Amino acid sequence: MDEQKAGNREEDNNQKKYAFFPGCLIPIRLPLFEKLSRDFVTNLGVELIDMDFTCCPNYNIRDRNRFLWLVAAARNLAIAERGKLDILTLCGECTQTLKAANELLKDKILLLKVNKELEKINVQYNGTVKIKHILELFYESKEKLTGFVKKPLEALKVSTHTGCHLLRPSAMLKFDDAENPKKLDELSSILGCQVIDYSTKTLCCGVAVFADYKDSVLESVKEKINDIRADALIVGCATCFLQYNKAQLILKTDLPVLHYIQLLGLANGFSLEEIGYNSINRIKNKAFEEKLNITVP
Amino acid sequence: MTRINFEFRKKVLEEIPELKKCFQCGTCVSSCYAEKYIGSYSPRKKILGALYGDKEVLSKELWKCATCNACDERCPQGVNPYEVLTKLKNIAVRENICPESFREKSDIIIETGYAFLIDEKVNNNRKALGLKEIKPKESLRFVKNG
Ligand code: SF4
Ligand code: SF4
Repeated sequence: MDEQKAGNREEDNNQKKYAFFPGCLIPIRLPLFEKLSRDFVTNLGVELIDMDFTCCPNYNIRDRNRFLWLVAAARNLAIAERGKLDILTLCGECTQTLKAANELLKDKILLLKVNKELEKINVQYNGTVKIKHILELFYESKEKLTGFVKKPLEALKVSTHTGCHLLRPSAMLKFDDAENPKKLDELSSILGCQVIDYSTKTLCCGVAVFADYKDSVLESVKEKINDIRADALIVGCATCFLQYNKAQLILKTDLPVLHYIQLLGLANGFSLEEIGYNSINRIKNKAFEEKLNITVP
Repeated sequence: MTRINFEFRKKVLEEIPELKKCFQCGTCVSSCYAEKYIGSYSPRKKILGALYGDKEVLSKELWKCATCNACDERCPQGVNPYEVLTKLKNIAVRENICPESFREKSDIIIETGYAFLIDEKVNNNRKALGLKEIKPKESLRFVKNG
């Protein structure tokens, strides 16, 4: 494990080094997103350190036993703390879990209880780690991000869906305005896109209940897709990415869904093939593909 | 008519004291994904049921929640209905009331450290991209006794 020298982590706003928390879904199901994320973040001049993290853990553990969920999350936080690093996340769920656990652990009595469990594996958490999602890092680095744009996507109209687990509860996550999120819009317009607002922007993708209530969830996805007047939907969460691809395959609608990291790739000059459009994306759309080749004078 | 189960009521209020803050305004219901799309699901009524000590609130229905957190966001009383429902799920699981595949999903995490199984294909895909191999981890086994 990489041990950074003790020191000014707290004061340094322009941190150059993070404990990298890719989660489960992205490394296992969407490794290309991990690859693109690592490359872009490194190109921002940020160093990523891999650590012995486990699943954040997700809501399946939280639903089973909230205390164990907190202990397991605290273990991850403690590992980063031991390396004197803050955490950079890729996934919505990880971000929510770690940020929420971190907030809950401000309760000293609860922290004491959790640390008693962590004693079993010789780690302790003192509550000093901060968690940042990759979109937050991009948002802070807007100027540098502009430098990545080699092929402005000026003909492309997009709408955005940030993802519930990045937005809510905003008092804990402090990511964006939960009722009217704008950061992903701004990050998309930096890449040249025209951003189109829509009314169901904060509607959940429904993935957690998709297996058991398929028709209901399809209904909600249809409502959202029909509401969007753009060439593509840009999402901030990998789970939502998979869900909107999968659901549309059943609905037979054809709004391309791209993760922001893919959009950034396109603006940086990557081909559709290179951002996984042919391998990962299930929804293809000719009009969208053609728009990528139009340069606005 | 709901019969108050005082024993259950006491237990629930001990574990979830924030229930008492709910003034039954229904903001959570009007924000709720499950109520709107799946139907017959009201966080407000679950909270009322719990306050009454009605054991019927412990049902598989709790898993209609899409975890969208809109209720937590909007509740004017800081009840955090999503968290309350999670705590009710915890009690339901202890009483063995939960969807069938539920334990399996969380077992995988505790056993392997990951939410999904890792097979050879996963690592072949990673290798092709120049990413490091990943392996199941035993690091979470210490939380097993849950
Ligand atoms: S939980 Fe909050 S939003 Fe829901 S009824 Fe009670 S006070 Fe209102
Ligand atoms: S988190 Fe669950 S209960 Fe709360 S609004 Fe969303 S679906 Fe409804």
